[in-house]
Amino acid sequence: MGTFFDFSGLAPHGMCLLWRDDLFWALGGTDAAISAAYISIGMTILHFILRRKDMYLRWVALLFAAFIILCATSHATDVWTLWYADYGVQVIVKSVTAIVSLVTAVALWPLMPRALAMPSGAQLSAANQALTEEIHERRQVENSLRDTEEHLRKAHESLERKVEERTWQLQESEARVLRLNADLERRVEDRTAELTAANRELDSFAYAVSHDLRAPLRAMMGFSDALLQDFAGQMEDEAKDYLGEIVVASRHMGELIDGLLQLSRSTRGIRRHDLVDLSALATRLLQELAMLEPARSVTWQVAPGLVARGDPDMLEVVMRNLLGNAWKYTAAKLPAAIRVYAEQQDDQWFFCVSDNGAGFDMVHADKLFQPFQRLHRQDEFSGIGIGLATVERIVRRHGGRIIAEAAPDLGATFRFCLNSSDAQAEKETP
Amino acid sequence: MKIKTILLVEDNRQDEKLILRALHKVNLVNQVQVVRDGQQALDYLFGQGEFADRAEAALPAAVLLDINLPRVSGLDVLAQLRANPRTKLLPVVILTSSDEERDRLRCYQEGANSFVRKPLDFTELAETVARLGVYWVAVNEPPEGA
Repeated sequence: MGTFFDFSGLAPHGMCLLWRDDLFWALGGTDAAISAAYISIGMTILHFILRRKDMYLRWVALLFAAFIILCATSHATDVWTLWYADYGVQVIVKSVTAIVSLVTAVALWPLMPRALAMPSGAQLSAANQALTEEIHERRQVENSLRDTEEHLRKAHESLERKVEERTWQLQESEARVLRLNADLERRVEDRTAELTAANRELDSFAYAVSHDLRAPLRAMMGFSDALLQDFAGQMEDEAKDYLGEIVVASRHMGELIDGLLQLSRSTRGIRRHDLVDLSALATRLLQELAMLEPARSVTWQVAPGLVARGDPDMLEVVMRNLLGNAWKYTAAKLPAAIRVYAEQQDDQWFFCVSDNGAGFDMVHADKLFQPFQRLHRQDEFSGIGIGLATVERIVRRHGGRIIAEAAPDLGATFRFCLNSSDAQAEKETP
Repeated sequence: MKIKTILLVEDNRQDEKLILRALHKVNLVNQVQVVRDGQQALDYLFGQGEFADRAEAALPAAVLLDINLPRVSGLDVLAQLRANPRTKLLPVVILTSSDEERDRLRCYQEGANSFVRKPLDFTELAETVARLGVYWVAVNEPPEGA
């Protein structure tokens, strides 16, 4: 090393150029320019590295900066050695430069794949562009979502408002219905009270009829009879006949009063809704009629299993009147026949009482169910004309109706149904 | 032998006459006492008011009582008779024009012994009343102490 730094006897590089001005300044100038440029480049890289601490492969850049700055130094020594023969220093500088250059050169190779894998600026910018577009799109989607959300929120609000409105309307109409109901109930109650009062009045009227009209009648009949019994010897036959007429008329008036009572009771209302065996009832009533008039020969037929729902007492009044009529109006027939059965008409079961008796002309049918209206003279068939009126009222009170069908001398058929939901006519096979 | 009597409570003069005629036919007319309204009937039976002198008198064998009576109705008379220990068991026959079921039911509920409807027919009425009179005076055994 001693000789290595011993520069005595060596000439500066300028000497080789024989101090030729043109060569001397050309070589020195270019080296100086290269050196200055390299320093600038190295400093720029260093500056960049110092500012970009997050830089990828920063150490490579550092190595590169070192390499360039060392290259600049070696060029500077070239300029220096033009004047001064310090070749030892130059050797050292160039050696260091060589080492760093080699290290850099060697270090660069393995980095090649990674460097190649690094996206280029264009790629990045394309990716960036794509990202920007995506962001833009996303923003648009977000905006449209926000719009949709806003729209939905408004729709929701409007729906809620509508629901509230509708609820209020419903509550309002419910209240109205309740008010109407209460009003209706009150009116029904009022009407019921009125009807009850009217019924009570009718009742007391019937009661008065039953008591007060009978008493004078009893006196008329009683004293007429007493005259006939106690003073028969002192009276002429004509006088007795007149007294007899008073008794007959009084008795007839008694029957009329009883009829009125029966009619008023028939409108009093249905108290019970029992199942009534009409077949058994009809058979019993016909047997009673036969016992009262054993001389009569009547054949009767009662279908088995006729069941009606209603007030048993009222239904007995109905059957008693219908069968009584059938019995009465077949008096002149031989053989007399009475039939009790059920038949279906327009989805409705009708109970029927049919006879082959005197019948009547349908022209007068409208008078049939009116009280005290008769289709036969008293000397043909006795009666007061209250039975069918009573029957019709009872059937109507049961929510049903009665239909009559007849022809003179061919007989009559009375069909009645009770409330369709309550009544049933069951036919059993015997 | 103590003479048994019948108390007839009847406000209708004609009915009274007809009933008395019927009782006359069976020789019971002398044993009949007639009063014409509910209050009179109560006074007679309890020995008060115009019948104060009857306070200790014997009770009739039976009372023939109409329902429709002036002042105190037949049903009220019956109720008061049944409420009083002295007349609680006194036989009471309701004799009325009414054939109302509820009248009949109420009479029995109030403790009537019998309910008879006055027949409209004179002959029937006479027979019924005669039978009633004979039954309650001659046939029926009154309750103890009556």
